[in-house]
Amino acid sequence: MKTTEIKKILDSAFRCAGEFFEYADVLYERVEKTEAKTIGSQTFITPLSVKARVQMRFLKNGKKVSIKVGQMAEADLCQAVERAKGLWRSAKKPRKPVQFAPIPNTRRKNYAIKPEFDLEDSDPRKVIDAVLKGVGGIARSFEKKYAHKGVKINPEVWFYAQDEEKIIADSEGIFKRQTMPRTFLQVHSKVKSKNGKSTQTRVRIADIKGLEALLEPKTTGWKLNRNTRARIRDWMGKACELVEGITLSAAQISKIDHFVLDYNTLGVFIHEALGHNFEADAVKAGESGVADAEGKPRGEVAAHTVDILDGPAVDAKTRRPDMNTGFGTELIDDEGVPVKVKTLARKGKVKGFIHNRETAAYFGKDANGGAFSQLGDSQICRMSNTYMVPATEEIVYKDLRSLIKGISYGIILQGTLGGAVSKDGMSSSIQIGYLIEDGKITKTVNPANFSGKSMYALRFVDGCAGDIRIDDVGFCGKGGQHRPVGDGGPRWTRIKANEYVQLSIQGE
Amino acid sequence: MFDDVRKSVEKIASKHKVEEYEMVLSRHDFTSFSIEQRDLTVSSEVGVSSLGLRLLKKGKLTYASTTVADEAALEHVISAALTNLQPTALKVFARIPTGLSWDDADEKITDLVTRPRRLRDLLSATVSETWERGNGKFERLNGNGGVGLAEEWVFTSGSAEPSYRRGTGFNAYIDLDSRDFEILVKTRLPKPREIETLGAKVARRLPKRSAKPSDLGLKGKETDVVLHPFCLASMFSNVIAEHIYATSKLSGLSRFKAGRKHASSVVTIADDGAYHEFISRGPTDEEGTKTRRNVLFDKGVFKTFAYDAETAVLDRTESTGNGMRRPVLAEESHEAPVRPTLRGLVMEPGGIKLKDMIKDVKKGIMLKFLLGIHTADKVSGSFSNTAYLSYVIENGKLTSTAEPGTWAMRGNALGLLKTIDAVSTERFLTGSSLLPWVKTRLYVG
Repeated sequence: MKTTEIKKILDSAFRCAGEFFEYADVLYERVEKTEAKTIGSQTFITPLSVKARVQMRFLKNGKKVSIKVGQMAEADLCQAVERAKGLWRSAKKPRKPVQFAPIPNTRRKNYAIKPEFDLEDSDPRKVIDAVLKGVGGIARSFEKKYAHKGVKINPEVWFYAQDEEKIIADSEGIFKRQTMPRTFLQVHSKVKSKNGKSTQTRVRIADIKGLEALLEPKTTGWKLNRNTRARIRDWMGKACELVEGITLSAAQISKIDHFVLDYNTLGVFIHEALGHNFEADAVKAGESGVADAEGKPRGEVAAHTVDILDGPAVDAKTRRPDMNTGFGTELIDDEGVPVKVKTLARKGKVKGFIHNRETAAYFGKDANGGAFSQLGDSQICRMSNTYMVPATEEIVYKDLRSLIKGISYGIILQGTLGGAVSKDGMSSSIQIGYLIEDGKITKTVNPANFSGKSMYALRFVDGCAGDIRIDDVGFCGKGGQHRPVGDGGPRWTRIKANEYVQLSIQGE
Repeated sequence: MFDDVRKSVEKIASKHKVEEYEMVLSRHDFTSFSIEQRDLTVSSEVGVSSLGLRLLKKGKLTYASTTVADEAALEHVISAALTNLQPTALKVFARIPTGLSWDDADEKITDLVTRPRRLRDLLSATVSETWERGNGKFERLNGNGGVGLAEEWVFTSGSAEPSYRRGTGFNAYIDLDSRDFEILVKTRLPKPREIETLGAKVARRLPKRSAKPSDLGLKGKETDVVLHPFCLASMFSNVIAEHIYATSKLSGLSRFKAGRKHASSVVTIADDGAYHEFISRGPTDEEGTKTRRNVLFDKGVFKTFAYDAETAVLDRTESTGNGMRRPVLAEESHEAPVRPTLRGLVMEPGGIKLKDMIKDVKKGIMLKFLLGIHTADKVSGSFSNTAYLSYVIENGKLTSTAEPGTWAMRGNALGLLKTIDAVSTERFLTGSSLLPWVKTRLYVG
């Protein structure tokens, strides 16, 4: 649908709304996607799916009504306005009238992240073929390498590349449009060995880029690029290593003096244990562990040597953002507010929250670009890329070797299959561990669960090493709305064992 | 709506010489109130529709999907789909029997979708009653309540008419301090008192204190566990179901064998997509195969894998009516591939009352939720996750809530089926399952 046509429909809808409401806004989202999935022995391919939905919001006398509409058509939007009038009459007036903080930079209309290799210009058959063949080839090479252990690998692939468009407009004349690509690959390696042991690992590679996020062109089509091949090899290799994995008894776990987390493990820990608590709608609802319902911080949330940020990745020294990378990065949020890097905690203390326009007005703050919706759902406060950076050089070590040198009995925890959060606690699943004895890595440890109390777990960070990575990518499912996110931190982070974290390792 | 979309699909399919097509068209309207302390905020969904298509041409299969069902959008997705036909074991799509049209919508709910004032009043009443009965036991009340009307048509080009279902749903949910919650899910409007007393039920049972495993000397030990139906349902959907799906059998990853005992003798459980109280019930699966009740475990003996049409062909058997579009994460169901999927679990009740089951436990935990159970190892069944919204049992009584982030529970979901030693007489309806409380043992990490 052309932009002029959409503008015409919206003008008409705002005219209908203006007869009754003080304010109305519209979010229109459209996605075109090419997708392939292998499940068991079957491959499912959808060369093209198109989905589009609309979210409309209305304000009058401090009461808000929101409506998800199936089609961007004049009749549908005007019908929604009529429905909204009825709903508004049924709505209760809240204790504090609902307001929306203003949208900054009202003049700028267009925002775009341009792909190098666009899905639209590519033959989906060749793209999907390259992904499936590339992954299959790596699996066969590992089966050869581990032939003596009778290893069989069943790699399940989930790949998609999509072009996204969204338009945000309101009854006061705002009209903003953003276009961008998003490309994603997940390889879930399921391994079965001769001795009957089954293991699995999962790797995800994704970015707000075109096909170049995963592939590079060759004369007759595409092939996996170097980074993609390396990361699949790394994690498929780990699934094979786990065949020899050991478990640790409760007594052994109690001896652990340090945990060393890679950026994936740390990332999901930051996302679940802290990030959700900084979403201002959770704060307002009294569901946050880091602040009370008035936004008053409950205390320190991390060691005084670290900062917690949300938004696009920043240069560790200059703190300048790179808006062209990060699976959760967008240029404007789903209310048209430019996305900012948000400092959630500075030197371990609560500094700010992730706001949508409603919570920003509620707490008397500026909107900071934290409102997102899943295709036509309401715009709630969401993380984008949430990560830890050292606030001081004093905890930065040269490399992993120097970081683990002083550990007498510890464990490296690597990778994640995701996590979950409650008000006070969180749980994160670890894909593989490595036992550290007297400063050296000695054994491979089975998958585990790392859990902790939100407010305390990260107060014991005492070292880190390596560059800042935010490419632990996933889908946050807050409120039933799935949104692409990234998370991470330094390549390696060391946490002193403490009473607020728990480790539980799967059996043999 | 169905006739217009069908005509468009038929026209485009015929133009592209498609031999067979299958379509799943759905449409819903929904209105809900989110509850925050005493505030209620209304939102609605109007005419939200989606279409999932499968096409067969020259013995090969392809998928297409869209939420924009006009002719131009359909032409766009169908022509793209036909550029990538994949080999398939399917020769034809199902021939849907005639007369499979279910309309069991509750008109009281239908009315509330567009005129929700009565819903608001019922939810306001539960909020007031919860605060009154809470008597200072909690600080924060959150929740929601909603009503919806949905229609779904499943049609294949070789059939005379679609299977059709029109149904309604009601749900309400009240959470207190993120320590416990209660939920009510029905296909018909519940009695007003059921809604009004929902939050007060939670407030009444909420203990003032919480406890860690070390308070009971359970750290690192095996202990008695009563699994709440919610927890049992999530174990099934996240781990156990993977071993029931024919796809796992065909790829050699299922641990189950039909006719073998894989669960305790007290476990009899069926998959029933037609059960009258399930919101997602329907006359057929999403391939047009008639819905049926499949016993999965009979007194612990595993009876059947769940098949869709294609896995049935591959395994030389018949579909069990489990061909559904099962989405992952950000995917919507209309864009998901068809694969074997459990429709709705119904477990036979046991012979012990829940209060007597709890009375039998000296030290243990009643698990309502395991945080992050979706991350369990689906291949081996192993999990280690933290208890959430759970209750500590001491000397046969629920004495405290489980301190968040401190109860790391370790076990194996497949092994757990074998160690269930008691099943309650009471069952709980989650909207897509009807399950009892069961007693077993797990390790506390």
